Amino acid sequence: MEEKKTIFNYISQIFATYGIIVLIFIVFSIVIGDVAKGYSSLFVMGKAGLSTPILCELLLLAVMITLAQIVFLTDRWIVNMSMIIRNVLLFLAVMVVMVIMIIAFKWFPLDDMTAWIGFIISYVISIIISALVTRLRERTENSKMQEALDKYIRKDNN
Amino acid sequence: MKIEIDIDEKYPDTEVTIRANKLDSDVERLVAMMRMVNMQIGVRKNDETYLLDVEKILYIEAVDRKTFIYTAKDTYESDLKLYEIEQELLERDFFRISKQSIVNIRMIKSLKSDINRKIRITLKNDEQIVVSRLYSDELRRKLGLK
Repeated sequence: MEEKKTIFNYISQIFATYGIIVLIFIVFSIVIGDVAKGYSSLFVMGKAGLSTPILCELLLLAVMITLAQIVFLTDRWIVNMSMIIRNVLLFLAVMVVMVIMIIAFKWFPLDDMTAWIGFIISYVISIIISALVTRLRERTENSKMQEALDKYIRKDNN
Repeated sequence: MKIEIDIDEKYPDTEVTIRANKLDSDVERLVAMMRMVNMQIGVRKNDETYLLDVEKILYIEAVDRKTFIYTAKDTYESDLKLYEIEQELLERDFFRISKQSIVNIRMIKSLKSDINRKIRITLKNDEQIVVSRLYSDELRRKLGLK
């Protein structure tokens, strides 16, 4: 009776991730697009938006992130592993993918140390925010479940 | 099998008599199911048969077509299939958590959300078992969270 995920579930997961990534990059392009226009291929159109090749590259990134989520955040291949290690491995895998894509698609000049530091800092910040949100959501749900269980058992005793 | 039900006010108690030409597995299962009405279940351990109080059960698991019953101290085996036990115990705070197991809700110490929307149960003996994704939603519903 286990609910099986179909290919359409994964496709919708890819496009949900893709939507968030594109939204973030659109905000970036509006804010720093004109400044970064001649510097980064990501913002080749400046404030006007994202180019078709960049949209395709971001779609590839969404596919890779979804793949990493399937590998590390489900028990399809890895059955026994703590959530902390799963998340660490997920973030490391996504970081490796992003570094490869930065190099392959020349998202910024590879010899620019400031750009690399900026990338690492923003990535770490996003990891911290994501970890905090996940932890908070988990704690809230756990506490709700525990309260409901205690209430159920109390009700049963009366 | 012939079933005869005789309802009459002259009987002070409910009485069940089984007449059979031999004590076979069908009769044993029938007896085991009736025991559950009295909150007891017939179980085996080391070739000895016991009557176990249902409230002492932590969880019940089907492994390789055998049914195992776990309490805080012991593991027993039952002749009944998991679904047969489930039918009798569903109204007594037992809940199916996967294709293979049912748990005694009163023996749950804590619940934690796990990977893939599953729920990790810690029992009163600190043993942990996982509720599969489909049954997790059912459990949330049963606890009034959905």
